[in-house]
Amino acid sequence: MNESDGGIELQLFFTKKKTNFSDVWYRFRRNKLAVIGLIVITLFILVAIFANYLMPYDPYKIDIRNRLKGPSKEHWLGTDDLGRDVLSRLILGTRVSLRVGLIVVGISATVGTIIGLLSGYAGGWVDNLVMRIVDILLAFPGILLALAIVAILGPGIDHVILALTLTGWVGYARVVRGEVLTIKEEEYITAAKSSGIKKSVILFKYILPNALSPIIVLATFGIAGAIIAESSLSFLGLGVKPPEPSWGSLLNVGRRYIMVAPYLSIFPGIFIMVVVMALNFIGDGLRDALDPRLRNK
Amino acid sequence: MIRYIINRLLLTIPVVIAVSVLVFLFIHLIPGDPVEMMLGETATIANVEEIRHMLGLDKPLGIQFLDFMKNLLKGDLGKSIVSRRPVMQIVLERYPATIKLTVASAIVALIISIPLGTLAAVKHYSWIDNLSMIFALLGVSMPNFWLGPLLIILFSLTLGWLPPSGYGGFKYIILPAITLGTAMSASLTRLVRSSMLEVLDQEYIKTARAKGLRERLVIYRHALRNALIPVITVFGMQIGSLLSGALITETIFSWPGVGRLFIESIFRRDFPLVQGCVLIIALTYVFVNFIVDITYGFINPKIRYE
Amino acid sequence: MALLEVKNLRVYFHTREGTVKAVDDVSFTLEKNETLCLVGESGCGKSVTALSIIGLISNPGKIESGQILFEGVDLVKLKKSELRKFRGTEISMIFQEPMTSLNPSLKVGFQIVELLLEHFNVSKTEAKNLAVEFLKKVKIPDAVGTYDKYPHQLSGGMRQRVMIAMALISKPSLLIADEPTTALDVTIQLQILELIRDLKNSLGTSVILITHDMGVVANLADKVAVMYAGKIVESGEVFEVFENPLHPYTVGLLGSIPKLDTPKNSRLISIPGNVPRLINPPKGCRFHERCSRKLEICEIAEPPEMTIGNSNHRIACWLYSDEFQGAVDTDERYGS
Repeated sequence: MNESDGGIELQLFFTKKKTNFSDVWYRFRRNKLAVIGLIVITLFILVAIFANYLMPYDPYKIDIRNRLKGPSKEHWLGTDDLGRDVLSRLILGTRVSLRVGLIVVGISATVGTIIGLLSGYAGGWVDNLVMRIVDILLAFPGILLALAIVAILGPGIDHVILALTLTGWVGYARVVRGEVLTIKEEEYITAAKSSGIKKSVILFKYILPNALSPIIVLATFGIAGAIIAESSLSFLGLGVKPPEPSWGSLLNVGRRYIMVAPYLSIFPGIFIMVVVMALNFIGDGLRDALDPRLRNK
Repeated sequence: MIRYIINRLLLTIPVVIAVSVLVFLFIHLIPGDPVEMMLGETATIANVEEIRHMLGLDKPLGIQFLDFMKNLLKGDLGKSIVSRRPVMQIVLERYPATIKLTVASAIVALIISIPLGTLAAVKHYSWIDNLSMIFALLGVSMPNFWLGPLLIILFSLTLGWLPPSGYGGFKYIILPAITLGTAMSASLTRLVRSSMLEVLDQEYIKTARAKGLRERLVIYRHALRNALIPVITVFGMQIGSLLSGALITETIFSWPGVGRLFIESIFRRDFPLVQGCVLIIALTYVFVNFIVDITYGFINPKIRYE
Repeated sequence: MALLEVKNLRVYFHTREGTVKAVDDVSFTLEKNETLCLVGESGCGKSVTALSIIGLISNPGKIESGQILFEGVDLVKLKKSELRKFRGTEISMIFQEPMTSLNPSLKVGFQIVELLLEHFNVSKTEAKNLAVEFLKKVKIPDAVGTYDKYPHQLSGGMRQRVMIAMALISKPSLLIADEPTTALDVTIQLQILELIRDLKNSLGTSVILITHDMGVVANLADKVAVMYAGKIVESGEVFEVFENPLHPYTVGLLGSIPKLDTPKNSRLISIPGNVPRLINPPKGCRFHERCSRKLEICEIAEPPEMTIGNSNHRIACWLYSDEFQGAVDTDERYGS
């Protein structure tokens, strides 16, 4: 019988009662806005997956003679500066946005959480160093740093993902570290330590599960943030490489032709706004469902 | 109070230094040869060497760094590759425009959020309250690169009241300021409202009313004063995001600020200028946060009188 | 004419869960220079009664019916703006928590002066002088220095003194004090009570003191009114009620005070049970569920208020009505 085995019984005894999934789901369900948000996001995910079947036209097909035509029976949302069908490009753009959102958050949340766990648990100079790095990265407002990185590396979705990840892990690290600092003072941690359980086990099996709630909530809002960031970069021309469509890049075209084709500037923004709102509702709902004590007015 | 200021300074200075170092390292993080990337395919070897020498990239890294820091302290950020003018000068020329826009947006945010949030709290559950919450929601979800063009479509193209771009008098700044300030107004409105609701529940509000003070005095002098304390904190924290949002807003409205300069210099591959812009914007952000911290110390009587 | 006459006051709170009858047909009188104590457990309606008098009841609460006659004027019928003129001038109120009753971001002196500037025609300097004078009157050692301090720089006792100064500076006819000493150190409590008593005497102010502490009542009050679940169950001169408590609830309250000569091993009498919810009060007498001496009628009908003898001693309890006199034991009536 080795150390970690002996810990199992203690583990069952000392692990703080986790909010169990069905409780959380029940509370979440009661929040009407959150449920609507979930439905909307699911719809968007379906659109992204089945884009190929939903697009009325080939999003890359250029048709100069029909450029900059407003909404009509043939092209419900009109055509862009190269005659391409806006609706089709909008649908395909869903894929880009969701992909970027999920990948960026997936990586930065994971990396940030690990760094936060290690930093908070280790304390001392390690913690200090990490926090200084966090401070430095946070000295750059908003997308400035991500922009600079893309400026160096050149446009393209992969570079965008890299840039957003490099700047995005910071938020998770900070929050997780804060949670770790609180949790590690609790008795069941001391008990676990004194019964000889390995530090890594403590970190991942005891502390992490209890820090999960804020991470999940942060990640949800983070997806919205990543989508806006990618759209911003694409809007500036530093995101997707043409001819790939992104909601932001469609708005870029819209802006350039705003005098003659204002309709181009309307629909992509609606999509962005709806997705962001849906994610916000879900995030609020999760926050309330995971810890009802955090509810504010 | 003095101790508080010194404390804040000690935290800020290392960050300033580190930011400078990081910005310096940027050019060296480019995969491949930075100079070749800058000049593109039409560059001749002579061009490349000339630029490389001009940027000091032919010296060893350590020396480059020392030169960089030395120059930084002198305020010399190198020369633009495109225009050959000093970066610092170019940036400073555009600085006031960005400041004006940022300040105007912050003012817009405060003008909308404080009255609206207060009214929503005082008339809790009324239609104004609901309206303010809807506004808060929409304002935060609408990206500024969508709001801007929409405002242009409405106020310039359709109504013809305001110009869609340009720099000059008062009417040129209205749309950009609203575009940049809306997200902040939305989140601040929510905050003012919830802060006021909390404050209005406090005992000392009852005392103020028991003294027979006019309701308006109760709201402004007693409630708002305390309710605004957390609001100012958050406001300060969000001013920075205005700098980030300015990048986009300036581009939309062709506003001649540092943000637009930054974007333009990226497309022109003018790296010294890119570097200069990043540095100035980041340092401005740090400085603004520092000032905000100090101001907070003034407002909170517990810190002021320790 | 009495200074204050509360007649059949009903204050209800219309909440989503139902209507809370916080004050349900309360009547009492207060003469000039008198001190009346409103006693009862938390939730019995004493604070709501006080807030009604000073006009601070707001949504979802409402004064449903009744009169509050202050020097003959019915406060219930006044418009908000007219009522405001009484607050801080004729009627003042101090609250329980000195920690939170003062605005943390304004200087203490200013909070006093503000009242004077709002209601009276005085200059800023005059107001400041008056404020400092009064700070001395409430026995604050460094009145001038304290004037410029912020609440967090003062102790609990000092803050309460400031509150008292704020309340009495305009020499109101009526001071309402809602548990003014509950949140203070025991050692300070007595000082504050004495301060209130001294000032009341020198200024000729009538006082309504709300408390759940019978000791305070004994110390300061001329009259006492015992409240339970929104109603006054017993009232009268303090000596009379203390020596001759009639209502089982009053008996219980008095019996739960430990006295110096209480035998060591005897138990403190506490009243079993909890205060009923005021949304659907029990039919009949509201106290019947906890009453050790209840009769059948107590569960069915509310007892009317009766006067004992020629005095002001009034009681609302079936045990003392003519029909049920027989149910009362002589010994029990004069219980200790």
